[in-house]
Amino acid sequence: MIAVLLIVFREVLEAGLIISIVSAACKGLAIRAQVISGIALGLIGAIMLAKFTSLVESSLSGYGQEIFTAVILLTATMMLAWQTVWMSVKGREMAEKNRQHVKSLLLDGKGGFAITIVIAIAVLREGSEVVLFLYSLFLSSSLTENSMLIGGLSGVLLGILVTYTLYRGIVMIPLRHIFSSSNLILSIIAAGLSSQAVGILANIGFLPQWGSQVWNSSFLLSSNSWAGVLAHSVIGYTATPMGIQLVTWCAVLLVISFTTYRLKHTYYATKEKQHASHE
Amino acid sequence: MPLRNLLLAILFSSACLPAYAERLVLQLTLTPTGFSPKQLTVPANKRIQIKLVNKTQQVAELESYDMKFEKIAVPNGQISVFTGPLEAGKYTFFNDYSDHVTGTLIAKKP
Repeated sequence: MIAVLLIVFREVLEAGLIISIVSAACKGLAIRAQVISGIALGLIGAIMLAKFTSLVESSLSGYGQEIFTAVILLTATMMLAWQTVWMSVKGREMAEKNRQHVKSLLLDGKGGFAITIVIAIAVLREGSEVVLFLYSLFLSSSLTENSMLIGGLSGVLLGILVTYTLYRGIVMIPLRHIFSSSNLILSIIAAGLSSQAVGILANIGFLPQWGSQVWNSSFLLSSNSWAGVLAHSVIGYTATPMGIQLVTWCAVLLVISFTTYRLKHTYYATKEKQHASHE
Repeated sequence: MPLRNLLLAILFSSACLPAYAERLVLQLTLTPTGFSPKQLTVPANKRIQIKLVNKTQQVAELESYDMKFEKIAVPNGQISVFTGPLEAGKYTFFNDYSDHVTGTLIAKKP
């Protein structure tokens, strides 16, 4: 029962980490509805995906699941990139306007859907594993082994509890600090997801590897350890990265940072111009 | 519907992909007592496919950190994971949903 609890707890926590960090980084924007609908969408998707796992697995001559996961991860990357760029422009605009304006800006709904999708994907990934795992336990265990099911369910609850505590903890950090670093945090998560995606595609031979193992840092932080697993789900850490994973990681981070920087720059430039013309 | 469009897009784009190099296919079975065989031996620097049949009554996840794969296998289901080319050395794989169910893979220089 404890083993079941731990496995389910870990999966929930992995998705929860992404959700907490993304929501904390977007603090200051009213995104509660997006977060909740993202979780709901992700759960529905997870149940559907769990039902069709073997179908996805057998499709595309055995590469189905790899391609599906890679596409999902790349979608999340693009959504995070979009959110970062959007926030860097709109976020400033909002900070300068009053509450009423912020509300109407958000009702445009242009920025929110990205968050919904990122969170839905985080829940979908880990959630389908939990659903499958608990479902098979439910089927295979007779009444005497009901403790397995209880273990699984308490794992889910415990995961949610720890995630929420974590979120409260992150949010405690003053808003100003989060806002200044949130673009970087979101970009790093995006970079991590994209490097996982190219790693999967390189493993099945759809992309070159550019070195199957550029370094081995397992002596510093082993992928097997708890810290390693958490670092994997948040920043895409792997102790033995492929060349293409490193290149992608850096490229995504650079492209997002550069785009945000340029947009901010032009935004302030046009503002200054407006200011000048008013005088 | 976006999901269906997505799947369709994947299907069509994959049809355009070129054929890929031959892989060495290895058979692996997960029994209630563990992996069988417990150790696999492969030549180094070769692309590998490991076929796993899950003969237990529970969902398993075949995972390896150093070979970078993780995939779920439903009871009595069969999955394939892909890895390589591997440098010579010892690699480990395990069932992530169970304690202490591990196996090793040895990559040998030809």
